This record gives sequence, structure tokens and C-alpha cells, in this order.
Amino acid sequence: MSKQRDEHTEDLLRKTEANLRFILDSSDTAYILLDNQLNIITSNRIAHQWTTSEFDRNLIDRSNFIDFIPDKYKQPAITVMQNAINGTPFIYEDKYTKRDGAVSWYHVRFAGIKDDTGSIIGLCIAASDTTRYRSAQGEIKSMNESLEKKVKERTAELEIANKELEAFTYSVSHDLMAPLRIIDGFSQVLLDDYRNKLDEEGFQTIQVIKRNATRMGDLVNDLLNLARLGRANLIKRNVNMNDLVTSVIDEMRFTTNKLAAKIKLKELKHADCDQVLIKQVWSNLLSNAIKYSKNRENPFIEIGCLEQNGQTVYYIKDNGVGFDLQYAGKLFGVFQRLHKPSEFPGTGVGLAIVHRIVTRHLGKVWADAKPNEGAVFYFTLP
Amino acid sequence: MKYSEVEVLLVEDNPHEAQLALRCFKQYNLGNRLLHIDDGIEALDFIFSRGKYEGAQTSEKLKVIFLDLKLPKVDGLEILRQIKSEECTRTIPVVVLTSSSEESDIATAYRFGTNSFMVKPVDFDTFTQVISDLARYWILTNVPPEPAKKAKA
Repeated sequence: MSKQRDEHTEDLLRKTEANLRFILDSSDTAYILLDNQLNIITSNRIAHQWTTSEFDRNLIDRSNFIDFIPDKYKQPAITVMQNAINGTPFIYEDKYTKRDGAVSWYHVRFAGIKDDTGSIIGLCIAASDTTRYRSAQGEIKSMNESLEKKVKERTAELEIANKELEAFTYSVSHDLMAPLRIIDGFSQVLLDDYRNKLDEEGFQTIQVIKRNATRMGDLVNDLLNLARLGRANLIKRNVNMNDLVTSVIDEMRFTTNKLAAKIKLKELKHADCDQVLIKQVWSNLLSNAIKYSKNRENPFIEIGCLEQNGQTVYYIKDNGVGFDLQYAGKLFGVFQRLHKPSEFPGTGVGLAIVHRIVTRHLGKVWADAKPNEGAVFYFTLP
Repeated sequence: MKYSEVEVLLVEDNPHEAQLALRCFKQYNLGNRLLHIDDGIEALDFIFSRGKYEGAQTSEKLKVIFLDLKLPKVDGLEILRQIKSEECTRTIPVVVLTSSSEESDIATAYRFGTNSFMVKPVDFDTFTQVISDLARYWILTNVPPEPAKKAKA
């Protein structure tokens, strides 16, 4: 019985040792285990490879490890190993030039081996080649540096482009407006001072010049506004949409002659947005709704919000002339119009501004309509 | 007209713009004591009685300066800054007349102490209306500071 148990135990030990040996030999780290007298207990495959290729010597179990150490490293190595056995582990990382001239980085650790009572019974030396890790780190560092450099370059380019755009809009607002004013002004001078020398056609011709100069002035102004909106910083805060829309409606009543439309304002959810810019959105959408419904017998506009996929969608609905949805793609483009100026005046920038502002809030804007059955404009502000 | 009797100074480099503005002033009989200067440096010479205006008590009766912003050599904002930083000229009302509604221009002009800022409309009817309103207000309605109150430099 007892003999059987011993055999069983021995068998188990052999298996355990074989397993440990397998694990040690599979590792990329060189392991050398020493006893308290610095005699080699065992070492793994990598450790053997290393000592044979570098020193032409095999690590022989039970021989003293100090004999393997080249003379010039002996004294400091002994100190480090004694310290580790006395309880002070030592870790260092350094370059090592191999026989073949290749330079490798090594991470080496000397640490005491403890038994189950906690007392140190030997020493473990573990050395791993960190060259690849280091070069990867170096690569990451240089990639980061070049990325940072690129970001700086792009930022500088962007700043220059912004400055140029600013200079451009500045010069547009100054230099394009003056000639337009002069064209309109001198046309008026002709009308005032030479009225009796002009026949009806001449008079009408000058009117056309004037109308178009004014129209171009409006276009330039709208474009400048659009450019400004692209630059303006968003100042977001919690906005009471009902108050905001109420003030837009009040202003619209004040500036629009005979506002015939009946406007129904439903309860709106608050939104985190730039109050000034979103006011512009409501103002543009409302003036469109008024414009395109004004020829109806009972123009009616409804403003409200609904929940869709967990998002608040604001909408403004009118019963105006509407439009064919197949042109909806053009709706939010600059200078794009679905109606002739003679039918409904406008520059075609209003909805482009709406689109720009909502997009800058990372929201979406879209429309639904049918010819002669009115239009609904929706937008979200996430 | 003697330089010392100038009541309104119009600083505007574009001759056609100036012509249209002068037409407005004349229409309302406000152009009699108006001087038009088309150059920033000369405008400063006039305001500070320097150069060819040396010795003329030029700012004595000035009721208002209409100032364009975009001028060659010395721009309008710089002229405004100099007027408003000198003890002897800072009380002269200055109205900035410009094509631009650039926020930075508006902000700078007010920081330098402009008394009014106006963006010239393209539409000439509106332009005439605005210019005549402004001119009537600053020339006829507004009470200017007494020349005596202007500290002598």
C-alpha cells in the first residue's frame, strides 16, 4: 500500500516537473534558478541558448553560477545576488552588445525565491530581451511626434485659411457694396435730374438697373451672413423654445404688413443650443411659412415638437403652396430656389442658413411637402 | 468758405460715393458748410490744424465728422482713435459711415469712442433717408459742445 502511494506520489511529481519544464522552456525569458550558495538548480532553454552563443558554455545544473560570470562583472553581480537573497530584489534594464555586434536591450530581474514559510531559499534570475518592445515604443513616439507636427501644420493652415476667408468677407462687404450703392444712386440721379428726357422705356430700364443693384446687395449681405455663421462660436445653453418662438412671432407681426396667417404655437421642449443662432433658424423658417402661405384663403401655421426615436423633433407646418419633393435635395443649397422671384421674392440663402446652423449644432433638418398642400420643416438639436 | 467755418467734415475716398452723399446734404440744404476730404492723412491734418491747414482754427465750429472706414494710407478707425485720444478734439461728434457691418469694426469703433455707427444701405432711397436723418440730427438737432469747452491743446 505504502509503496504504491510512494510510486503514485513520485509519478505525480515527475509529471508536475515535466509540466513546469515545458512552461519554462516555452518562455521567451531566460530563467536561472540558484540556491542560497549560488549553485545552479535549473535553467531554461533560452538561458542555455544565450550562454552557449555568448560564452560557449553550458549552464550545468549544480555547478556554481559565479564561474559563468565574466570576470569584470563578477564583483558587482555577487553583490546584487547576495542582496536579492537577503531580501532586496534588483531590477535593471540595459543595452548589451552581442558577439555578432547586434545591440539588444535586456530587462533583468534578481529576486529571492521563498518557501511556504516566507524565508528565502534561493534566487531567480530572469532576463528578457526588450529590444522589439523598445523599438516599437520608439516608433510610437516618433509617430506621435509626426502626428503632433501634422496637427500643428494643419492648424496653422486652417488659421491662415480662416484669416484669408475673414479678409475676403471683409473686402467683399466693403468693396462690393460701394459700387452697388453707386449704381443704384446714380440711376436715381438719372431718374431725378433727367426724368423729362427719358421716355417710358428708358425710365423702365433704369428701374430694372436699380432693382437688380438692390437685389445683388441683398445677395451679398446674405452670403456674408452665411459666412459669418460658419465662423461664429456656438454658445450653448438651456433655451426655453416657447419664449424664443414667441419673440420671433412677435417680431414678425411687427415687421410684416398685415400678417394674415393664423399661427398656432404648441408646447415646445427646452433645448441646449445657441439662442441667437436658433432664433435665426425659427425666424427664417417662420418667414418662409408666412411667405409661401400668404396667398391662401386661410393661411395657417403650426409650430410644435414631437418625440421620434428618443429625439425631440421641432417642426413648423404651413398650408401654403408647398413644393415637389423631388426637388427637396436643392432645398438647403445656397442660392437654390424652387420658386421664381416674381412669384415669391427671396435670395435663396434663408434655408442654407438654417441648414448651416442646425448642422453646426450636429442636428438634422429636413422637409416634407406636396405641391399646393403646404410644407413641413423638421429639425433636431441633439 | 473759410476752413474755420466748416461745420461738417466728410471723409470719404470714393468720389462717386462722396458725390451721392453731397447730393443728399444739398437736397436738405445741409451742404453749405461742408468740406469733403478724400484722404486719411489730409483729414488728420485738417482736424489737428496741421500741414496745409496750419494756423486755421479748423475744428472750431465742427459739429460732426462723417467718417468712412476704408481709406488709403490711414484708415478710418485710426483717424477715429486719434480724434478721441486728443483732449482738444475728443468732444467732436464722429459718425462712422461704412459699407461693412463687420462686428469687429463696430466693436473697435465704439471702443475708440465713436458717437454713432451707420452701415450705408445699397438702396439709394434708404441711403438718402438715412443720410438726411443723420445730417439733420447732428447738424440741426444735436447741441454740440461749446468751442470754449474744448480744452486748448
